[in-house]
Amino acid sequence: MFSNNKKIFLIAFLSAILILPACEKQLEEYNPSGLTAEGVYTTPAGFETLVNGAYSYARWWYGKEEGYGLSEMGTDLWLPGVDNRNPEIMLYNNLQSNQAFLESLWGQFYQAINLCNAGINGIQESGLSASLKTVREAELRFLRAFYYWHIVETWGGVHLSTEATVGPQTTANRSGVDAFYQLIFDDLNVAVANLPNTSTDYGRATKPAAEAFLARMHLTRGNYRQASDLAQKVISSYGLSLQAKYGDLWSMSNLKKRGSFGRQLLCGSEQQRPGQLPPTLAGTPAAGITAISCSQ
Amino acid sequence: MSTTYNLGLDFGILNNRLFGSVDLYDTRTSDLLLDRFLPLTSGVGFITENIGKTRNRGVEVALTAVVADKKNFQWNAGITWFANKEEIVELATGANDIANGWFIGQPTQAYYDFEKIGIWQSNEVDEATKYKQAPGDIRVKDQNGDGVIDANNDRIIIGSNRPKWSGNLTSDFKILNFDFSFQVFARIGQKFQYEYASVYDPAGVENSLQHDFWTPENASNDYPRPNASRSRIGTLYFTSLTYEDGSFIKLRGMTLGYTIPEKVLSRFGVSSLRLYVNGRNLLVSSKIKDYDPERGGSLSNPIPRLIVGGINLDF
Repeated sequence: MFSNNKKIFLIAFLSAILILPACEKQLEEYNPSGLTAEGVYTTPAGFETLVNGAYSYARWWYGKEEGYGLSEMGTDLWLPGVDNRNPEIMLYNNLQSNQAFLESLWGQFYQAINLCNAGINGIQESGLSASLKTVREAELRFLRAFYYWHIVETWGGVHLSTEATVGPQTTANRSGVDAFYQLIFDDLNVAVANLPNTSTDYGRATKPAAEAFLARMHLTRGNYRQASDLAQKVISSYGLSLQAKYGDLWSMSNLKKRGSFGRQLLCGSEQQRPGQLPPTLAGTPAAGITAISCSQ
Repeated sequence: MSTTYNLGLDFGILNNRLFGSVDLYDTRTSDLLLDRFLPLTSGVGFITENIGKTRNRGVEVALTAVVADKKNFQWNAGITWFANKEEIVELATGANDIANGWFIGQPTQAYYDFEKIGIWQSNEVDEATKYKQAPGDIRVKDQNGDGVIDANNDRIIIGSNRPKWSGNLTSDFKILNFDFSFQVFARIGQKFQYEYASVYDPAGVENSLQHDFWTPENASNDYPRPNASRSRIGTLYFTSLTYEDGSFIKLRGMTLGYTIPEKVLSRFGVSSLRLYVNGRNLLVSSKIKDYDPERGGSLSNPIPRLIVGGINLDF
């Protein structure tokens, strides 16, 4: 029989035999698919992919069936055909939260929000130049306001968060509609203050776009004076003008003009300029947004 | 990580004319890695995570008997029988996870839904109205009897696709130059979602299958009333239509062969010649009509019934 000390020694010795040879070589792992947010969004190039990605979610409303499903199918502009697959959207007949369009947009918008949150909160670590940081943050705030506006107008007072998700999040909160609009106004004020008047990158949010959007938000909330002032400013200060006819927005010869975030908000301009909509939006009637303008 | 305790017994009696084994096992798995779905509001659809601990307990029995071993008559028979109980013992989140279908004491795959008890009939208008429904709608059980059907209190665990037990019976005969064998297989106690039910289209938009749906003249309890303005997803409790008892017993294989005597063959320079007919999936008995439940509920790639004739020839 071994005494206790001897036992411990024996165990330690055996363990050493087992473990030591295994430690001589480290496993060298090369995992090209193992990118993490911390690794990518802390480089200028990586952060730009975040911003570009944040724009792309607009496609789910403005480029796909889901978006015009929710914004138009239920109106009297549409009539169901014989093989209508979405009677719950067309007729609001027993519309449930698991309806495919609703579920899809719900997920896509919150992914977009999460991306915007990650960018806005992580802008200081992006490695971008100070001036570019200001502009990119303003773009992300513009987009966050844009997506939250779609969320609050579709679902009302639902989940509102300005934090990026880092761990498993199993609960959602209910926030009032006012809280949504408070955030939308805060974000748009930053965007208006910091976005450039124009951009050489086709499709980026610009100052007139943010002002036009802000004008619409004021209109929505009943702040008619601010809405009118801002809208007038956008029309008169940037060389923009309204389309002669509302229907011209969808003219085939007007594919790019009608698209810009700003121009959609104010019915487009005669001159085509850089700084318009994301390529994914080009050529799609942006139902939700265009409607704002020409009634003013 | 899994730890298994196994208790086994192998035996042979009657000069090894009857032999077999019995195995009992208990496997406990911790840090089970699965995709865990999260609320979409987090912006992250799912993560792969150590979700908890599971336990698998079971018994496996195998018996083989040499019933007859004469020159002109040989008969071997075998039975295997196995039962397994899978259950979640512990979840990382501490409580049942409805969104992922994980319930303590249930397998990692469980169906949690409303329980269909029929279709509201014309003479039940008053009661149906209490539940804001109408004759022809799917009737589900009000589990807690509070007069309201709600997702929190009236859904139950309908079952799982894990069987309670499975068994196999094989038998081989050889009489003179004839040989005959068959295999019977049973799998009992599992449920599945039957695609036949889920293709029922209340709006009748597409060509579909034959479903016995309710109409005022046809008091069916199977499928709800057709309605041109209702899609599947817009039909309340639609998924409750799909759960079926998938238990079955089937004649999985049968072979009949005849070996031509060597005396006859030697004249032709052939050393052996056997003719046979083999059938696969010949008979199925289950609660589902015209379907082999071994397929697991899907209508695509059905299990074929095969009859093959063949010749084994050696020179």
